[in-house]
Amino acid sequence: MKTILVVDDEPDVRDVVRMILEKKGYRVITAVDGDDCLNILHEENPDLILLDIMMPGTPVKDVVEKIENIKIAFFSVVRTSEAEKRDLLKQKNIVDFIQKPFDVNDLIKRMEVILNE
Amino acid sequence: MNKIEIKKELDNSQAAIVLVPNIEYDDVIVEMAKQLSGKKICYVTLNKTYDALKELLKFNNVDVKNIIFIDGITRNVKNSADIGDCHFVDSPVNVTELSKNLSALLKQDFDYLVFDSLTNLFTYQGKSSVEHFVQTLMNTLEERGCRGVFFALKKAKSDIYNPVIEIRKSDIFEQRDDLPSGGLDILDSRISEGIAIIDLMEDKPK
Repeated sequence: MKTILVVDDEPDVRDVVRMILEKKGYRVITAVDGDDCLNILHEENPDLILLDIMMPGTPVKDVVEKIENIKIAFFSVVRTSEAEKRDLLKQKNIVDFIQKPFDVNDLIKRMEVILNE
Repeated sequence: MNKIEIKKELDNSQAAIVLVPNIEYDDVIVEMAKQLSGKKICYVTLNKTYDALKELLKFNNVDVKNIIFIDGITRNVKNSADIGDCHFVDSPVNVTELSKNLSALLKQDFDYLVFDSLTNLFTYQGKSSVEHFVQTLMNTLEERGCRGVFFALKKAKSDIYNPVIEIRKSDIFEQRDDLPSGGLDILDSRISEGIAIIDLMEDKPK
């Protein structure tokens, strides 16, 4: 079973995404911010991290720097330009940029593609 | 959506909080920027990156040459050095730093400060910090003779019935126990003195 770590400071987002992905057969663990995510990674080795880019605590770029060999999909309510998205996708381990609000079917499809690569 | 004339609204108030329904957000910020263009504007963005915001404004033919941007998002995801019309600041985890940056920048005699948005600031700060931040900023605006426009999200009733399940930040904002709903009462009444509240979903008498 593939494991996805959902990192988002909004409890509702964590709960809804967990519910959606668990229904599709994924094991889902959650973290409340970047620091919590890094702590969890001492004990867990998820296949993918779904990482909100606007959270309190350590800036996301510093969190990403500390993550080794795990795919990361940015998950963002913040709007970026297409050029910025392309730039972000060039960063180490970043495999996708998912814009909130998201469509459930699109999220599931993207998870399948990323985790089957 | 109610059409407002922001300059007129600000004739009698130091600042205005504009409550914007989520689905009309981009239209409203573009319209406000259009109405204020030609004047010297300091635009603080915590909602879109500088690139995305400038792209949106230019696409909608808003003259951006008199706008100086403060981007509190981009540095969260990548290293960015200041450029001609944009100062990149760290995300407002430390709101005091944002306050200091704004006070320094507002010495440049801006006509308007646009703050986009209070809702995003709540991602990083609790109610009392936001209140203190707005109070300090209001004092600075008054000293400088600058008018302020603060955007905040307001949930549309129709969102509830949207058949496509979507996560809307505004819904979540309203559902959190520690945050009051709607944005209207996000500020202590002491602070809201001198601030006009403009609710774009409220029916106006014809």
